[in-house]
Amino acid sequence: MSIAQGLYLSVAKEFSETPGPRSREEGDFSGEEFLDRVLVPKFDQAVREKVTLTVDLDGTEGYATSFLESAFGGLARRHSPKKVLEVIRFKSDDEPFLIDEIKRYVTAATQ
Amino acid sequence: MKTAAGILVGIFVTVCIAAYFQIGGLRLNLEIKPVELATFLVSAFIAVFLQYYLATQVNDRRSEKNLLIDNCRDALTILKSCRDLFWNCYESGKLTKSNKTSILGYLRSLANSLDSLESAVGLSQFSKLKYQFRPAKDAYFSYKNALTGSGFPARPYRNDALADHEKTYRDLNAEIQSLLFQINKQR
Repeated sequence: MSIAQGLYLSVAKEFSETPGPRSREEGDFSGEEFLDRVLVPKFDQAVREKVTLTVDLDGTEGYATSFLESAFGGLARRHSPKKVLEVIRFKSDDEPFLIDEIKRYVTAATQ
Repeated sequence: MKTAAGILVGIFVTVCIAAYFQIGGLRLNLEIKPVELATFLVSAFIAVFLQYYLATQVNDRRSEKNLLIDNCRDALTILKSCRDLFWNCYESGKLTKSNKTSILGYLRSLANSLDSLESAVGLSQFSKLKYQFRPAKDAYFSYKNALTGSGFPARPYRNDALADHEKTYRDLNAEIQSLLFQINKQR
């Protein structure tokens, strides 16, 4: 299935420049909060409109493994790794390794 | 260098003139022998080739190696800073906001250092080594997971985090050193 270029999501602008821990109980700006409040609505919209969702990871102080696994691994557990990788494009000029890292969590996620 | 060449040319011309006028029993044989002429031309070509081409090549390779080895050293230095910071946090039993920022900052520097090393290797004469980056990348992700996985940054590091950190630190350190040795032994 070919997907047209579409939605854009900047973590720094639409969520926080200081992404936090894994879950809400552990602190502010958690991966779980990002998943529920920002990522899932945008992802669902992209799926409905049959367009890609570009997630811009630049402009933050950095991402902990716990945050990334909770957010992107969590999304892959709700949908499927294949669907997530089909819809989402990642942009990371600040730290190109992040893209590979996130794809690992998505691929390793089991529903 | 120029003086030595001048002296050699001078001696050659003097001997030729002496042979032409048959001075001191010297004699000039004007017969051209193709095999000897070819041997002379090959020898002259090799002399020029060795001096200019090979010497330049060796210098270029050495410069590239030095550059890549410096990149490896940078990565090792950042990794050591990361380890020191981890130890400070572990010993103090605290993980402050400033610690979190520093740890994420060091990890980003380390990732970017490895990324630029990989790119530089790809552009160098040792580009085949690019395919040996996978283990170093895997080791980096394991190290990052040990530092910022599980309860980070909500909970301070505990004993299990210490064991995990030491193991993944050793693995990543060994992978970067292995890359450094492989770069250094390239011919």
